[in-house]
Amino acid sequence: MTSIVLDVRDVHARYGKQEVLRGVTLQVRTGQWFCLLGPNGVGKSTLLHCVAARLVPSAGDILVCDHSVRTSTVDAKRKLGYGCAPEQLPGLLTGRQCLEVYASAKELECVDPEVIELAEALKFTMYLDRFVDTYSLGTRQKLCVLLALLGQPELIVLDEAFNGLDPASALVVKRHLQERLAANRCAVLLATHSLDIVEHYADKAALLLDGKVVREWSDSEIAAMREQGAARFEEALAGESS
Amino acid sequence: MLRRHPLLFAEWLVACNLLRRARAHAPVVLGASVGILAAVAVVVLTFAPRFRGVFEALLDYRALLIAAVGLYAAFTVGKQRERAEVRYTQFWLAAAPVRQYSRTLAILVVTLLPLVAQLLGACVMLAALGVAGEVHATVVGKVMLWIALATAIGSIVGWWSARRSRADALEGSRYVGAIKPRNETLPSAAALSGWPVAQVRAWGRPENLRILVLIPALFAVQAGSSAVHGLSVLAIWVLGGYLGGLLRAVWHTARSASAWLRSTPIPFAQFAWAMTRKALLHQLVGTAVAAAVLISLGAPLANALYLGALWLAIVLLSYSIFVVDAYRARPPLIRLVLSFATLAIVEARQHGWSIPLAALLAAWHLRAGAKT
Repeated sequence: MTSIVLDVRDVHARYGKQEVLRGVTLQVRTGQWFCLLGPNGVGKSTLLHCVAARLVPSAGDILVCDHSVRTSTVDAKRKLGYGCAPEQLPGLLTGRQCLEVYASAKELECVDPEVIELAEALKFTMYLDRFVDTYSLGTRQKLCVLLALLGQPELIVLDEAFNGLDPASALVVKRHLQERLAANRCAVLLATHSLDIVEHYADKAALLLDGKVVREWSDSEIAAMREQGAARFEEALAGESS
Repeated sequence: MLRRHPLLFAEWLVACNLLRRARAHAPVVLGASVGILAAVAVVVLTFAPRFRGVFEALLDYRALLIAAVGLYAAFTVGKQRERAEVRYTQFWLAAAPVRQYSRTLAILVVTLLPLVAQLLGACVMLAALGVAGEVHATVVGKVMLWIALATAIGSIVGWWSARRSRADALEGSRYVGAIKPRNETLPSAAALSGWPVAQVRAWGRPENLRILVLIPALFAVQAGSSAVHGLSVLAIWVLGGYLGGLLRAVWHTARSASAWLRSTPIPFAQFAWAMTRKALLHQLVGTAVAAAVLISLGAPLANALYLGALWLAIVLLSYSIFVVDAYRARPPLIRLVLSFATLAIVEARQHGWSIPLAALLAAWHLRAGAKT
């Protein structure tokens, strides 16, 4: 029996007067790759911001490994690896400095050799000592993923993390995540528009519409749709969205 | 008319939407404005008896006033123009068929508008100070005239001295020394402490600093001024610019660092120390050098030490507010205004007392941050 890594309980969130999340409830278990789907502007990134304690929910609670992001924020953050948006990376630090600062912020004794190996596999090592503001979008995205994986997080939260990555690098990242999941070391929560990832990698998916989860697909449902052929998932998603 | 100038039209719409958004927070904006105005009014009334002397000094040293205001205007316009040039190269309307004269007009307006607003604000402030200090209207008018003249001359110089956009102008790290390649990656927040310094170097572009040669030139034409004096004033100017930039850079970088690191469990003490460590050291050394230069220029030792201590107190207080508010993702303006208004009032009543008070206030702010 796998444990629940992320428990989102009736979460509401707002920006000023605008309510973006209106009672989202979902659970993610260890070893699970959970994809969050939905049209633009329905609150996917807002939900991830709440999970990463970047935004305080107006109601409800989020538990990361049984630690509430509202009351035990620091403990929850220790279990979390969040891939920030590429534009949020500090332009005047080098990639290596970003890794060092992030590792220090997460109170690590050393930077995981696994992350350094992944950097090599992503051909990122040549950029390590260059300033972030000289990076392309894809290179920034690689750094965001590496930062999210630092410190053996039990929950990896990624927001459109494969945007801008070349196919070879995207495959390296996907396989790396699959290895971690297969060893039951973590769970992945990914907000994405890529149905290819959902069909081939996700164990569970949820559709967010108007700030609510309106449909969830289990592992078997995703597998069934994969067997029914191309565009089956796309059609199902379009049907739910309309 | 605006519709014929797409860049200006887009800027106008952005400004209107910002105002509309601000209207939604009218009570907060109104409350903050009233609070700031009240704090300013208290400071103005406290210092009112000294204003006559200040206006007379400004007129006596009008060459220095014109030089300072002119340089400020030249720097501001030069920097704004360069930013506008770079911005419109990357603008969402960059591929639209906008005529060259329309683009230049937009750059001119965007470049000059902030300075014109500052000039108007300064004139209103001077008028208020004149009324509060019962200064003769002719004296106030003359000071305003000199400032306006210096602004106009500085703006023209700044406009023509600004460099046009370059392909590599977007890279902030262009003037930051390259980092030596290493083989090991160890957890350390040390890089955060170098970030504000790197930011000041990224801001201090040599093409903007070329204008510094004007200062020795100005001093060279004044009878009795030696080259050493001119160079000393130049050193003070450069140091002042660097230390002022460093003051601003800590807020700028702390805010970015906080946004970036918000999903990590970084403790406040580690964040605050890492963000300010190197900047504080540079401030300390820079202030000591500036005090030494002031003494070499003939300033009394006590005055130079007092100015240095006052500057360090201001730095300490500002940094404490910056790191706390950046960590809490809150704007620092009201806290800054209230803290400095308190300092000004205390300083007016008891000379020198603002320095220990600033240290106390800084400790108080940091304690509040540590509780976050």
